[in-house]
Amino acid sequence: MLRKLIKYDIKSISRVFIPMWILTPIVALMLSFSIRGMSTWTQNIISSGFMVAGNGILMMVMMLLFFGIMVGFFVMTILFTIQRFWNGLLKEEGYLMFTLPVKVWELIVSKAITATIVSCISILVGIFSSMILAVFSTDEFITSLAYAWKYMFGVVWKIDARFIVNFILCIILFIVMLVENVYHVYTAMAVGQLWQEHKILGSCLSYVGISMIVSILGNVMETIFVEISPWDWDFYINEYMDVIYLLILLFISVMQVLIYHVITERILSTKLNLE
Amino acid sequence: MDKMLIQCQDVWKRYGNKEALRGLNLQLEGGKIVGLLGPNGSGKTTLIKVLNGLLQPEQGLVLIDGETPGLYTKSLISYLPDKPYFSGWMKVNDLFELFEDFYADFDRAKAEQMCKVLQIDSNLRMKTLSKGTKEKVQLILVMSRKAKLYLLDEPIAGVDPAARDYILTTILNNYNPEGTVLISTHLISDIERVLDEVIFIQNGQVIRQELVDDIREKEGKSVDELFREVFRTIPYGGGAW
Repeated sequence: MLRKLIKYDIKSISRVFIPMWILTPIVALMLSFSIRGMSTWTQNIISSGFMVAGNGILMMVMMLLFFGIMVGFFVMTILFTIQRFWNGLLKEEGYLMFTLPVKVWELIVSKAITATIVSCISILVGIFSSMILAVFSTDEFITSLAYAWKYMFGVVWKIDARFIVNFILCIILFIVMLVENVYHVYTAMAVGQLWQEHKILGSCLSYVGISMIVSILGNVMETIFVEISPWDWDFYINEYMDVIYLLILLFISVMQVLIYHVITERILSTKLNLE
Repeated sequence: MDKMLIQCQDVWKRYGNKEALRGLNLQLEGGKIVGLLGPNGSGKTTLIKVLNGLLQPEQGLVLIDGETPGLYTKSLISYLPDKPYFSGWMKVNDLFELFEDFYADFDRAKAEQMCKVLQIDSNLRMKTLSKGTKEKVQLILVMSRKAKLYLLDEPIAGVDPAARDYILTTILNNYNPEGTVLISTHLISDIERVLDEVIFIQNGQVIRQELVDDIREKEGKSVDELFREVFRTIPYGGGAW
């Protein structure tokens, strides 16, 4: 059943996101050619100080335009993630979804998986589009990138087993933290829908409240485990600092996801408050 | 007791300080068309939501076919809410596909045939349909299931008399004869002719449950007349019609 739910959630978002994922790199490509074209044009004209300054301003406008598009792109991703949960489960559509013969956790997990997939693809498209813009707008970028690559992997990092483990851990951690953020929003909405009126305000306040609780708990845990614990952390930190640090962050994020999930599932199972 | 399709014992449901169901008791056998009748705010919609698992009662026991509301009971119940529950982007065909995916008892051929008769293009998106057509699609979806229990919440409220006839005829022609249809409404005269049994609900409690034939025989009244008598309120300034 979870597979079927994901199929419908993917279908619901694909009509908005697939055109956006296709359009953003195309816009980046067009912008990069515009930048290159203007650059060549100004170089061919008498190189007056005025023209050089004008070119710089136009370049800046183009970059700002692209930056605006990218910000809009990510804001839309976040808003759509919120909207699919809010409208899909907590408004009229909830009458359909919560009467389907599926478990409540399946409804939530389906939304979370879809939101995570969408966010990951959007981030990749964002990175890809930025690369397109950089690569095609100037010739220097590839040279600089190759130099940076050589420097980072030749001098700063050594590609060995430990590097690969860290790299994989970083990617897993990134995805889990993404899920954690998605769930944070879901839990806030689940709490907010309990309000009889002003449910959106309730959700926003819940989001802030949950953030504060997480922050306080984080400080308490840090005090307990780092400052007053009898363990000799220094030994581990010196020897396996990177791996241990990543594993601790991963553990904390996974626990947060689990806690958010249980709270959201319990609220929607026992205290669903559809309008 | 075993034959009972619906059993409610001392069911309480509150919204904040307001008690919507107040120790409600109900037992209902299968294979009937039953009217859940009561004035606005009497607890009809809340009872239906409790039966289909959308709401959890604070207290009391609810059993559908011997099981508490959950996966099994949701697969038995075909629910028509009192408002459209569609996502605007979905086409009518998408909804058929969804129902086919999740409900084993959904008869897609029947649904498509009903759409054809009503000249509803199943390739249209829900957001492009009129309110009345949306309601018809919702009714088609609900009545194309061979469900054990149909919970229809105010299916004829807010529609013109011709549409009421269409809705009632669709229900009568398409429900699973082995199943039970529970129709909540306060428009008694329109629905009376199709009912086998009526449940009167007031202030979150069942105050009367009787076969329609018994009402006619014993009281010599129609259900509509009995309803008006039971739920009569004295207008401000006195007098009555």
